[in-house]
Amino acid sequence: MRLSLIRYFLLSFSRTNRYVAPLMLYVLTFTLFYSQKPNPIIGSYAATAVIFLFIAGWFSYAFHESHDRVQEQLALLHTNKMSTYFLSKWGALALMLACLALLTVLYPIAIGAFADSVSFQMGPLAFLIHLEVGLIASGVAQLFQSRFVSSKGMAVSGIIIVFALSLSQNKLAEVLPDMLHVLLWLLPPVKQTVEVIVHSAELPIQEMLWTKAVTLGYVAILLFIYVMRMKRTDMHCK
Amino acid sequence: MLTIERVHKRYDVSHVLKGISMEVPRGQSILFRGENGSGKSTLLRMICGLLRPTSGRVRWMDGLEKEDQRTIGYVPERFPQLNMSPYEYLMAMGRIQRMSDRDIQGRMDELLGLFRMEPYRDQRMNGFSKGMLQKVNLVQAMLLRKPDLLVLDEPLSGLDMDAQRKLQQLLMELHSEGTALMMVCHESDLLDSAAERIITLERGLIVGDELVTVSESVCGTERIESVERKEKLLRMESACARIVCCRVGEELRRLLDAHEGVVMLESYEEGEECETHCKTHYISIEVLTSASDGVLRLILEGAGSVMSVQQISADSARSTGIMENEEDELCASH
Repeated sequence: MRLSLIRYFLLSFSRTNRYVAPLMLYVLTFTLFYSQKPNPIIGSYAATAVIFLFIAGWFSYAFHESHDRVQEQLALLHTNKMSTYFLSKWGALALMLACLALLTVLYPIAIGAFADSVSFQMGPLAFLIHLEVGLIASGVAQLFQSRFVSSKGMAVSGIIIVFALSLSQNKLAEVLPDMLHVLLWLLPPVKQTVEVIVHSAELPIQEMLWTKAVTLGYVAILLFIYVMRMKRTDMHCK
Repeated sequence: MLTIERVHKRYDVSHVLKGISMEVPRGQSILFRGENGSGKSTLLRMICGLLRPTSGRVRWMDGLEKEDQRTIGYVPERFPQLNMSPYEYLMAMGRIQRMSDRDIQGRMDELLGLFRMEPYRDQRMNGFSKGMLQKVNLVQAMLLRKPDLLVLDEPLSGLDMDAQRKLQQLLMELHSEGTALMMVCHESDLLDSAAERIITLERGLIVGDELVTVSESVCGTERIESVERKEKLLRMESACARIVCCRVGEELRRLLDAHEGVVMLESYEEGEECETHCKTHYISIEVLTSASDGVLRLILEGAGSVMSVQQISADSARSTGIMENEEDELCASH
């Protein structure tokens, strides 16, 4: 990753209006969500993590579509290295999602929306869960960008379907025959990630770390697929 | 500096580059000529690494093998109307290239001043005219003082006469400092003086490759006519065949057009058949000799009728475009 590139991506994205709609939805949703007080801490954070998945997906899709193709060609040539370029692009997105995740965790604390005070362990854990969910959303959304899926309708539907399937893994496991259970590993581990916060009180630390490793591994694989696909894709403009 | 080896490029059904091969020595300046759709821009983008060849390869040499070892300036045909100022954009591009802020500022001031763009330095580019955008486009490509290669796709587009002259001088300076230039320009007279090699493309093939010399006079540059016609060729081969056929359906025609060995495909109508009073549709296909068997097989498998196959010289085929220089008639069949 290159810091100058990350700065450039942030500048460029901030000058488009593509972030406005997902950001407005984000603000509205969380304002409404915490308009009733008091709220349970764990249940609220679990619910906001699921909502954050969809908003982060939209935000990521908008980010990837915000760059003009020629603008991308030029920045890529100036970078001199394709993998650096695309990793930095993802880095800029991850940075923005980290800020949104932090805001999602701090906002209810700041307005005193919870019945109890948030413990020292719960705050960072909630942040990590939201960040992981955001990174999964970004990883999925970048594989549905218009370079790979030319129809916008198909891309948006695809993202929503993947998210919906990943949230209903338990139901799918009941419906699918045993021999097809292996397919569930292809789905993003959103459910497992969110469940960590639900069962945080009784979950052993090893299992918690294992879930985190699976999530981060999944994100790394998505990132690897993305960079490899971009390297094999023509950077032309139609 | 780089070698292009039998490069083909296809987009869906269109076959844009049909086996381009060429060598580019370090520091050479090349002007590409050709009609719209001849494959010039595709070739330039491929050299920049923005497009992948369908087959064949672009091989860099002289210590420029890895992508992070070479520096390429690229002026695309169209520059986007970005919602940022030239200053913000150029600073970002310079930093991405790991230039120091001082170097970027210095070079930016120099180039923006040259193109009289200083008053617009801090204005957002989404209100810029085509010419102003083109000037920013040129500046971003030349931020680095001495790139290994500068690729310019229609660089004069939208520029006023003064800017065109200045660009011409700038290119000559860069070239004299060792930067290789590759240019595509329809108003080629203006950039002729900066080119020492002129390559003509037609339908995805190199049909002309001339070396020219440039002499510099006191009052500027004066062009000396082509001193060495290196080669005029159809690909690397010296001969091709002309196949005339009829009863060619749409699907077969599309397949023939996409065939990598097909140089030219023309349809025409001829005569009136006595009984039906209908004109017969013929298709004349110029095909590289090495690929003629494959093309014949394709026609016959596609239920087409081969009327004649003739050996012709590539040079005469290109220069006359008609059947004057036919050498041997190989066969004639129905």
